[in-house]
Formats: sequence, structure tokens, C-alpha cells
Amino acid sequence: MANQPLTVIVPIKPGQEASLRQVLAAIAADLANNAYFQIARSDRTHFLRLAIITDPDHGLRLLLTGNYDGPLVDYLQELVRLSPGLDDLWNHCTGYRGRQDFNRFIQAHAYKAQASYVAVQGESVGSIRKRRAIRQKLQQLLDLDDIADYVDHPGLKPLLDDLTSLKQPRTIWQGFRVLMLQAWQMIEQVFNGLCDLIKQIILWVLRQVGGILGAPDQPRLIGEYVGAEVDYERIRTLNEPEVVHGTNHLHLLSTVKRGRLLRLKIVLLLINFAGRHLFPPGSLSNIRSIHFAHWSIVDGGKHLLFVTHYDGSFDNYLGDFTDRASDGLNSIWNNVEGYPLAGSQDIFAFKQFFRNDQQLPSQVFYRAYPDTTVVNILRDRAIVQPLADGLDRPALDDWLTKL
Amino acid sequence: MTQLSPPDREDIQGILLSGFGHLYYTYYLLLTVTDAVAAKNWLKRTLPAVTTAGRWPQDANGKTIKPDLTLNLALTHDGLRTLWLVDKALSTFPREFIEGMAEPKRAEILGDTGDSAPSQWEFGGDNGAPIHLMVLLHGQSPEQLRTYGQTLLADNPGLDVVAIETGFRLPSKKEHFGFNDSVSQPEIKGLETPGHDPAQVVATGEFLLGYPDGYGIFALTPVVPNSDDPDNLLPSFPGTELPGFKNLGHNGSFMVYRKLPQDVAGFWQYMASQAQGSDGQPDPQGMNLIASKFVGRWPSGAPLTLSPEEDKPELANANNFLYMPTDAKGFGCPLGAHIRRTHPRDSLLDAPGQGSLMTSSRHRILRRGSLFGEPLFPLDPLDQGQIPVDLQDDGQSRGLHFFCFNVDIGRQFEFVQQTWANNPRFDGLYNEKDPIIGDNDDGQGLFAMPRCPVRQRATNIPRFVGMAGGGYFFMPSISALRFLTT
Repeated sequence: MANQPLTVIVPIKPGQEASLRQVLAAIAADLANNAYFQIARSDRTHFLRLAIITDPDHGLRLLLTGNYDGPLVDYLQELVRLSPGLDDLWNHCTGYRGRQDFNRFIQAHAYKAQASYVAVQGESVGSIRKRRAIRQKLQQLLDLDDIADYVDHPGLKPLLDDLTSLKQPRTIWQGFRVLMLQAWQMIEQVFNGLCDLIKQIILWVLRQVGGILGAPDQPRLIGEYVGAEVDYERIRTLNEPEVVHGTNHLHLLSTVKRGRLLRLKIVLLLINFAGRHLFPPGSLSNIRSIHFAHWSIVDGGKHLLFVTHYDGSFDNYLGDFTDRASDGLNSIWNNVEGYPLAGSQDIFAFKQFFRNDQQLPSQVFYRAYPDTTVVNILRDRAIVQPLADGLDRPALDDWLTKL
Repeated sequence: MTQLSPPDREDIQGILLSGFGHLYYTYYLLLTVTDAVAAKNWLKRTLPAVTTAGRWPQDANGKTIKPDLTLNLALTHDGLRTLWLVDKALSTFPREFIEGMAEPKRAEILGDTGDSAPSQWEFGGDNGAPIHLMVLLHGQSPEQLRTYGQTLLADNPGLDVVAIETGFRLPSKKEHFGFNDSVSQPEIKGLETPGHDPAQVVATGEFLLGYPDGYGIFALTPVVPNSDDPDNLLPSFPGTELPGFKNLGHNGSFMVYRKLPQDVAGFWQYMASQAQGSDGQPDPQGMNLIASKFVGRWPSGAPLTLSPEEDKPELANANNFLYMPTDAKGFGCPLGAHIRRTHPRDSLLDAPGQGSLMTSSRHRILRRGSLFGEPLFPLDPLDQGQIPVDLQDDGQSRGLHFFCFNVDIGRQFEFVQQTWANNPRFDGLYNEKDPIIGDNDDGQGLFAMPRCPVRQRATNIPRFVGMAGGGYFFMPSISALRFLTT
């Protein structure tokens, strides 16, 4: 089991905020070697963040959220192992009763994701890193002076031409086997085509539903804002820690509109289904920059928590949404307070919505592969996997010794 | 909207709708205000001289009379504040413009790092007087412009000169590396040129404030409360939108100016190091090919996608092309080439085809500019394959005065720079930046050139284009200028 979302919200004890912030700052300053929580040493964490969140009903709470590999119990054990100062961190929170109790404590405060999207299902942190390392090695090999020269003055092409032109003489039984295989492949193609057709039909239906549920409440020519009311200082605060190139993140805690909870739940159910079963790997409605996204309805249906990790800039991320997934986005977010009436096409108000007081800064943010985009992961897989699939270790060893 | 109305054209500053291609010389005054009242009076006196986008008159024979000198004006946010624009209006400008180009996070986004950091700039950066105002002159000769520039500031206008920059354009429209740099411009809705490519048409409101933009809405525009415009100089918003405010931005635009020095010798020396024949000598054809792969066009301007093997000057102005039908893998124009990054057309991996075209059209810029410094080598013969194999630097500074117009600096100019040009992982690439304008400060730049059977990769690419000064400006309409000087 790779790639599970985790969302935990725990109340912070009164009067503990300042001290907790100090601990979080110390963790953020050195993710691998701090005295509390050495998250950068994790083998199972794709992303993880810790953030202090606040709302009028619940006061200050600590949010722990991210994506991890394997069963939750094993993951929590790893986190305990990586936390020399486990107590120093979690004692700031109500209900924490020590190291032995961590598993129960976390699970008691964990929220299920109503909808979650994972770009490349089945990829663990380890497999992503390993494929990347192998691909880099292959590229370095190609760049070696001698090899680059050889490749440059066409040496490889004739070799490949010759190699692929060689055919082994076939016995009659081998010929028969090939014939049977071809027949089977044809049957498989027909089935694949059928499955694909069903998928496309469901997707079409969902898009129609999205078009209805996501129709803007009101079309607008002018953004619903006056520049004077935009809080640039806040945007600067949120923008500052975002990396210019690499993976970024955001999370929002929005208030669900009165009477819209059921509709929101249905939409999230559909999004969850589409994200898991209808879109090809690495693509959420043709957006290829999202590693993970999950939506959890929290606080007894009062709030919607949205957590996402994406490649590139905030502007690119939201621009992609508007360009490619406008209806889907609208049909989720028009159920919460503060969403622009014209929906995501009102690009400025839309970005503003994501930047407004519902977006929360993280105090700690860890990413396991900050420079690897979703597209990179898929490309690494396309480069490395055929080699891995085609090679049988003993046979390879045998072949190499023959050279 | 089919056409901009004549009154609107008279209200729009000329350079927004015309590059003044018939005027080969430029003269830019970067000014700081020393006396706000005097400066405002100077602006008021200068206002009638501002070139508008009004239709050029015709003589008795029906021949268009083109202006022999043009003047346009733009202000920074500092400038607007210094000239006393109501506080409430000042805060309604977009954040990027308020913060300015030299703000540290912006500099990071733009790749203005290392020797190109704002601390190193000649003007507009961390040192020296703040730039408040920029005057852009286009004319027929350097002498004419110098004389005019001097008389313009003759009688104590309350303005000090921070820098005077001069420039020129070549009939071949080449920049200093030797490439035709003027081919791709967006077609503005309502101002389309005859025979244009419909796929290139971009909403008017992407370049002019006060018109629907690519999303069908108005981009963020500066506004003033009605009470601050008693003389009713500024237009209201249409319908019932924002009834309490006037649109200060209407018919205006945001201008980006960057003085970009180019390392011409370094560029061609690098090509010589990458393309060596079997005798160990630089191979001119190979150099030309790699340099053209970096750009995505041959020196003449012919796109590699249309002519992958050799320069074809008859395709010099070809701009009506797509990548996906014939060049999806980048065997002609590599995925990371300068023109494919800065205007990906239909080739964005997210949604190749129509989806990509739409995204591309929402991040366009309208370019203007001129060159500074004498060319280091004869540029025109490049088109005939005469490549400078042994180019030595002469220690002179040369490069491009880059200008562009857009309504949303963050969504247009900065987006192109950050998300496309400087993005090491643009469109599925692994770790390479724009080979021409990328901030390869460490000299370790990479650039993959796909080909069959296996890619060629240029390594250790240094930074070829630096940054020496500039700023974000607001180019107001004539009415807005009148408002500002009243």
C-alpha cells in the first residue's frame, strides 16, 4: 500500500502556542537533525506538514497532514522512531499521554479523506527515488565524453539497425505459439476497447453533472473585488516560503455553506471515483502538476479541509485549474463560503479565494523528492521500467559473463 | 468588439499599438522626481507631445504620413506616489507593480540572481535614485533624439536623470547573437493584421486595461473613488459594476523594461566548443544547428519545426505553425528551446492541442524593444551560413532593451519567465533552463536536443543573457495622464 493520505487535527493546550511555535521552528530549521522530529530521515513519507490552524469555534489546533507509504500503524511507528523529542512536541496538545499512546492518540484524531487523488498510484518514496537514481545514471553514461562522441558520429544507429534486423529462425511450434499469442492479443484489445468506452461514458456523464453543479451562480465581467480590499501583506506572507521551482503545497480550511453538506459529499464522492478510476496516471482532468490532493470534511460537517501538493508556482497551479477543470472545481468550492460567484473563470477572485484567510501557512513542511515533478516520476518509470521488466537477473549475469 | 473606436485610439499611447517599425533609433530617459509640483507641471506641458494610437493622417495622394518622432510616458509605483496620487488609488494597483521588479522574491522569480541581481544593476535596483518616470522616444537619428531629449528637460522640470539609454534597430530585425527576434507577436483582438493566424488572436484585455481579458473578465485595474475625480476625466465601469469608482487603468497597460546585456562572444565560443568536426576544429554548420536549436528558429527566423535541417530565409517570418502535428517529440525544435518555452503554442504536455493553445493564449506578452552596443560581428551573413567560428570579446557592452506590455504582470510576463523559461522541469524536462535567457549562473546548464536514436545533450551552459536594470511601469491612457496632472 503506497500513498495514503493522513489528516490529523488535535487541540493545542491553552497557553502553549508560543512554546509550540518554538519547537516547530526548530524542526523546520533542520528537518533531519533537530532534537524533536527528524522527519527528513523517513523512508515512508512523501510529504508531511505541521501547521497551527485556528477558527473561532475551536481555537488553536495543530494540523498534521501528508502522504505516507504502507499501513498506518507501521508509519506511526516510524514517526515515533524518528522523534527523539516526541513528548516535547506532542505534550503541547490536549489528550497526548506519552510515547506508548501515540498510535491511539493519532488515530483518535485522524480524519478520513472524503476524496483523495494520488498522481501515480502504487509508487512508494523508495521506488520513486530508485527510479530517479537509475535514470540519472543512464543519462550520465550517455554524457560521458567517449560515449557522447560515439553517439554523435553515428555509431549507435547502424548498430541498432543491425541488432533489430536479426531474427532467430523459428520452429513450427514457436510459430504456432506466436499465432496463438496474436489471437489472444486481439481479444484483449477488444476488451480494452470496451473498458475504455465504458470509462469514457462515465466520464462524460460526470462532466455533464459537473457542468450543472459547477455552473457559476452569476456570470461577471468585472472581478468581484476592488483592489483596495486585497490584503497584499497576507499574500506576501504566504508567497514568501513558496519555492520558485519545485514542489509547493497549500491547505485551506473553509466553512461549508448552510444546507450544502450533502451536495458537497456527493461531489467529493464523484471526484474520488474519477480521480481513482477514470483519469490516467499523473493526470487529474489533464492537470499534471498535482502529486496529492485530499479533501476531508471535519468538525462535524462544519469545515472542509483541502490539502494539496503541486509542482511549480501557485499561479500556474490555479491557472491550470481554471483552464482544465473549471466545472469540477466550481462544483466542489461553490459549497463553501467566500467562493467567487463567477467561479474559477474569475481568475483574480479565484486566486484571491485560495489566498484569503482560509489558506493557512505551514510551520513545518517536508518533501521527500522536492525536485521531481509528477511528469518526471512518470517519465522515470517509462525509462526504467521496461528495462527492469525485460531483464531477468540470473539470465543477465549469465549474458554479461558471455561477453 | 470588432475595432477599437477612434476616440479610444486617441486615448491610448501609441507604442501600445505600434512598434514604430519605420523609426530605427530609440532614446529612453529614466527620471526621478526632485520636485513634485514642478514635475507635475512638466508632465502637463509635455502631455500634448505624447504620441497616441490615433490613425496616422494621409497626404493628398493617400499615402500615410508616419510620425518622424514619437514620445511615450510610463510611471513606476514610486513615481505615482511621489506625484501624489490619492492613497486609496495607489493601493489598488496589482501587487507585482507595487512591489517592483527589484523586490527580492520577484528577483528570484525572474532569475535576476548572481551578477544579474538588483544589487548589481546600473539603475532601478538597490542602489541609486529611484526611477519614477520613463520617457520613450523613437526617432530617425541619434542626433535628432539627443537634441529633442535635451530640450525636453531644459527648463527645470523637477526631474533628475537617473539614466539615459539609447538604442537602435536593424532592418534585418536581428538581435546581437544574430537571430531574427521579432517574428512572434500576439494578434490583438480588434487589431488583427491581414492574413493572420486565428489561433494567435488574443483578447484585447490581455494588453489593454478596461477590456475583457482572456477569461472574459476585467483584469485587476487601478481605480479611484468618484469623489477624487470631480472633473470627470476618467471613465466609469460599464453597467452597475463598481458604481463608486472610476477606472484609472482604462486604455492603459503595464510595461516591463529590462536592459539585458548579451555575451555574444561567449555564446558563439560555446557553440564552437560543442560542435567540433573530426579534425577537432569548430564545425560551422554544427555550430549553427546547435545555436538554432537553442533558439528554436534559424538566424533568419525560420522555425526549426518547419525546417529542421537547414535555414530557409523564405520562412523568416513564418509564425503560423504548431508543434504537435509534426514536431511533438522535439526532433526539430527541442522541447526546451527558447521559443517553445516562451510560447508553447499547442505543445504543453498537460493538454496538447486545443487545451495548450488556450493556456498559451492566457500568458502572452506584447514585445517592443531595441538594441544597444555595436554588433560584434556581421549579423546578416549568418543567414547564408557564415558562422563566426573564432569570435573574441571586445569588452564592449551590448544587448537588448527589452520591453513588453501586459495587463497582469504576474500572470503574463512573470509567469512566462518563472513557469516556462526558467523552470528546470518545464514540460516534463529534467533539469534544464531556457538555454538563451535562463539564469544558468552556475555555468552548469543542460539542454537536451532530441534526435534519433538518442538525444544529444549540451552541458555546462553558462548564462548568456544578463540583467542590468529595469522596472515595472504603468503606461496610463491620455485621460489618465490628464487626471494625474490636474
